[in-house]
Amino acid sequence: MSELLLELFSEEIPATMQQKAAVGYEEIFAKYFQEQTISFASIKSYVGPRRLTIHVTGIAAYISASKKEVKGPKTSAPENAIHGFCHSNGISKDLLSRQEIKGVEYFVYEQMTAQQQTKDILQNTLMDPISTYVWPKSMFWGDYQIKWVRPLRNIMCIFDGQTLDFKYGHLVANNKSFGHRFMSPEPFEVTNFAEYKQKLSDNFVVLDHFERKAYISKESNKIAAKMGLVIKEDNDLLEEVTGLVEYPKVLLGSIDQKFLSVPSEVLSSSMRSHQKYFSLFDQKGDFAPYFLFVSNIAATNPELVVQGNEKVLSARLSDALYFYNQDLKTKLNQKSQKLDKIIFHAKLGTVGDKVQRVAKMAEYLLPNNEDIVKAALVCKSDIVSEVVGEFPNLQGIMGYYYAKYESLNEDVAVAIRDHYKPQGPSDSCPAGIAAFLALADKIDSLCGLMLAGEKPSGSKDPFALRRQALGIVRIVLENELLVNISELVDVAVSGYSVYKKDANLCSTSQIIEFLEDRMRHFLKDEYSHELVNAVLDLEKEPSLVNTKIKLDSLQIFVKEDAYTDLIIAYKRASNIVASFVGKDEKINESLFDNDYEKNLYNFLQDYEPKIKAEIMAKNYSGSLKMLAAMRAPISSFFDNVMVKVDNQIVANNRLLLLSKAKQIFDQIAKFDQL
Amino acid sequence: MTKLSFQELILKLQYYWQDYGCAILQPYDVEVGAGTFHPATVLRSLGSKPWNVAYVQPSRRPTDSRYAQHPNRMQHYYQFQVILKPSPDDIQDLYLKSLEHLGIDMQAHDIRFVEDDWESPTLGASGLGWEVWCDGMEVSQFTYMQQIGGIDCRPVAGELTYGLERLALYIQGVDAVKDLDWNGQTGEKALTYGQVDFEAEKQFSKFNLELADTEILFRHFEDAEKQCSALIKENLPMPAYEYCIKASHLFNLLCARGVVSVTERAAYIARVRHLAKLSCENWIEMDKS
Repeated sequence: MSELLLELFSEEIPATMQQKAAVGYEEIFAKYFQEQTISFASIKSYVGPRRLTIHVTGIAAYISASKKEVKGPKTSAPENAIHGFCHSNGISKDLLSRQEIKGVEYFVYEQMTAQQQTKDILQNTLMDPISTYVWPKSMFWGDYQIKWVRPLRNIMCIFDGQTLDFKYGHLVANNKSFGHRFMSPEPFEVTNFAEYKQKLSDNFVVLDHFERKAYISKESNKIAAKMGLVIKEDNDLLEEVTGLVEYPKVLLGSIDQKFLSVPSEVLSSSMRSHQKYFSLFDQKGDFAPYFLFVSNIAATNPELVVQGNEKVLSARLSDALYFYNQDLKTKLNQKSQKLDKIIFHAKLGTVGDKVQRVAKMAEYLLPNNEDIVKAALVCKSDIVSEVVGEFPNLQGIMGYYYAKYESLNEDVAVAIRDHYKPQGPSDSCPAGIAAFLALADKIDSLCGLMLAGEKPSGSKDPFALRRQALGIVRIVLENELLVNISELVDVAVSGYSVYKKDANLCSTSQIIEFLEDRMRHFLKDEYSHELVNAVLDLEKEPSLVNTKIKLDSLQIFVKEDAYTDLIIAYKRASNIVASFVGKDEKINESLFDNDYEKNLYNFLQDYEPKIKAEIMAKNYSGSLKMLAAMRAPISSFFDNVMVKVDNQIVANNRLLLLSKAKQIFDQIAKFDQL
Repeated sequence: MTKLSFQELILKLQYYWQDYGCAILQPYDVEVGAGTFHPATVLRSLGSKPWNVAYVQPSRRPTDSRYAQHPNRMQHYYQFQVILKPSPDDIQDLYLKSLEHLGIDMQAHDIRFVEDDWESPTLGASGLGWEVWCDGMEVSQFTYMQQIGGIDCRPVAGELTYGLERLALYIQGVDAVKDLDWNGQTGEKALTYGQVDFEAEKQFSKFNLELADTEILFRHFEDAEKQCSALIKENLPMPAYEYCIKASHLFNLLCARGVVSVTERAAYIARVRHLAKLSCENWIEMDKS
């Protein structure tokens, strides 16, 4: 059994692309081996900033001779068709045999493939899988013809201890690899994987991404613990820095106290996005004036590297401090004025206009509340601040700090901060007046952008309308807000009436449908599909909270004893009355000729108003309890009464009775969906 | 590390790239946003002929005007630009050796190539590469030019852009640009970066942000556009491109004055890009014939 070792040695591969490429290459090589019918035991790939390595073990030394039958044309086919078949297979006609397939005689060519050395196949075709992987972005360099993510500088390829010197573009594969760019730049020769890994390690390269990642994580925690601090968890950042180093060394730097007046979110963002540093916090959760970073060298004097990084950070934080202090010079409502210059959407006016609409919507949602209007009018003001200009991810958060700075009360500040929430399924929902403001903002965006024709299609959802709609559903349900969605949509849509000329690409019912669809999506984990379909209907029940209560009641109800009989009775009644047209006539009691009819009739007379009252009172479990009482009269009715009798008048009267029974069901839910 | 003055830094880089074989060019004498805008990069990176040059380019970004109050953000700054076409196989090593030439010890510092793709919507240009970090400080941009004026670059030029102020801050161990030692002199002859450039920084900040007459700017933009198009018709891509750059700078001034809305912005960028595209296409045609 043989081993293949392939190293693609490159100029620095973008950190965020590395892991995907490793997985991609692993799949491509597995497929390649299968297509070449070369058996193997395992494929593993390794990736780092300067190399992508593939290691295949347990490879068969050769693929054995094989025979394959190639079906040709019918024996009755014209001569040129037969000739063409022979030509395309590179054979003469006397090599064809005849075979009957499903009663028709065909020419068949028995193709023999001789035994092949795996080495030869690899030598001739390995360039194919190398070029198969598609990088998110790739490039040309020099005057060469091949494309890769960054210039590919060398290919090392060893099969069974021997160099496979195939050509890929201008490169010829060899047996050379390279150590750390600065600590050991000279090439070295390789004959197998174990030796490769060892030599890399000797030359200051940790090949395995996961090994580097684990090391960084362990070292960072060790340093933090020594300081009595905790690291701000950030797996994405950890992944990224792992992709930036071949020989990680974790170092600790400190931050000048003078920057601690800047909100910690700003400090962390600046450190993370510009410098890829980890923030540290003390046991109380307060920002600690230190940072961790991962260097790519065991420098002669690490203190120098630390000093350099501290200096850079200091310059970065000076920027942040400058911006923050600039921002504090103007009040939020002064900043708001600039919003009139920022386009919200080409068809929908400015952010300033949006703020006015959101304020109106907030007032509609929570009348006579000064705080919410105050918050609404400045909720977008931080967009024009210098800090948010630098760090867009801090919108809302900065608004909070600016609000606090000008002594707006905590509720207002929190509402400004949280009105973007929830930002995804794992983000928490806002509460209190923030919930109303978030709802106002989201319903306004959703309706406007739908009107402007930005409805998501397939994977395209540039304005994240699905997330907005899901946010609306979550805010309403988690805060149990008794709002009428349909009215809300109407109010929001009417706020856009001035843009009617350009933005009328969607109807209110389409918006409600979209929301209903998101609601359905949200409920799917908790309730069965059928149950949701039976209950969810925002045109009819425009309260999400009531819809949910109804679902809960119905979910309990379907598990009760009476349910099975009732649903059978309901379905029978539905089938029978399906084509019945005289539903509005009055039931004639004098036509009853048995107690079963009378009992059902009496039940309906008695219960219909009661059930209606329960529904009006939104007491769904009550209405369902009463519905359960119908089990006996309706079951007995079906067991004992023949509906479609010859006497048309009696039959119609019975159909009327059943329609009425069905109507009661229908008032509660769409039982036909169950 | 020896503390090079700002001018020594430039001289050292010029000598280093001269020794490699580059022609040392002079700055382009029109306002540009970055060294890339110099026709020695935009036009000469196109076409098949080899091209190896280095030059300093004073650059302007009116929106970065801070009245000389910010420690390291200015509306006027200097870039050192190197173009190597076709990009040689050892271009990374050549670059690193230039840092060594400036006195940066590769064993003592943490040098990294961090993904940073470059794109200039106004030039219709893009490239792939990195920002180069030295102990966390971005000291250069390193780009393999892929497209300029919408035209594919073949062969590919490697573009190295040294941020001279950043590099000097690092080498001199200084915190603010204004305190950089400009000429390495002591006593009466000593000059700092602040003494050389910051009065202009204050005056131009006021002009860029407050006083530039937007009516004039709008009009000049239209004029530059017209002039560029007219020159293309005459098959004069070099002056045509000069008017493209002028339009680009006028647009930047309008942005700094805050009179270009988001939607208009995209439209203006498209107009400048169109000029760049026409100039580059015209240049390529001339180059072939």
